Amino acid sequence: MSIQVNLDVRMAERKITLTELAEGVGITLANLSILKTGKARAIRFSTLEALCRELDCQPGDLLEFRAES
Amino acid sequence: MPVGNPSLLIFLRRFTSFVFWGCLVCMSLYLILGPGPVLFDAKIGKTGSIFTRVSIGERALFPIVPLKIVEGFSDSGIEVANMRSMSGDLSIETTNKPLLLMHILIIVLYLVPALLYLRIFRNMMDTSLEGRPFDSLNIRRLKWMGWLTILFSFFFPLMENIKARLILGATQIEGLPIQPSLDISEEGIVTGLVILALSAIFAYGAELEHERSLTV
Repeated sequence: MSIQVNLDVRMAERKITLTELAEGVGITLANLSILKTGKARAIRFSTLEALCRELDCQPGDLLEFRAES
Repeated sequence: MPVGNPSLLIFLRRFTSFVFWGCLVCMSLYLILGPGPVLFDAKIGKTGSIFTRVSIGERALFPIVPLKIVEGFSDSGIEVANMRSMSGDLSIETTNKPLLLMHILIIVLYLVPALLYLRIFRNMMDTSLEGRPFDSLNIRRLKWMGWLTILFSFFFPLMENIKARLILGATQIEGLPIQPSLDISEEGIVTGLVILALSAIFAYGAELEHERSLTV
């Protein structure tokens, strides 16, 4: 997929675990893991908003477009 | 998450299960107990009834017409032949054991698709109750149902044709040109195609369900 999710980078910067983030965002650990491993097909605006709030960042910090070679 | 009306699904699941086991018991009992009395009756000279679908030369219609068997064919064990109803049902009274056994076998064979459908339907109820109606197994089950329905639309008329051929081969009716008929069930073919179309809709539903599960 050409959209890269940089969740792990932001989590490392913020020193926050997956469990803590899941609790803060209000989604399941399984769903957050799907997002982190890049298996997600789509992301809700509400989830993105909650992630940005918890990680104190912009959507562009979490999502990145990389052209497939 | 259960879908639809759970109490209705539970009722349908129980009802299907009840009918399935009822059919299975009836089929087993008929298969075990059916041939015995029939063969005993045939041995003591008492006739048993057999019906089959035939076509009449010019499609003449009869309520019930006794048919006269040509002399010389009485050794086959067929004693009485009647034409019943308006659709060409030939009814015979016979002591011919192979014919009687074949008749029982075909009746039992008719129950096989009923049992298969009930089993598939029951399994689909189970996945629906678990909240997974668009399961990949259900798609496969629906495809099976569709192909089986189409197959049986050819198979059972063919069995009736073979039965009629055996009966007509063992006897000869005076006056009426009776032939074994081969009425392939168009309704069955259409139903099978509808079920196959439904399986394609279910496949789309499964794809949407998969998409939904990967949306966070």
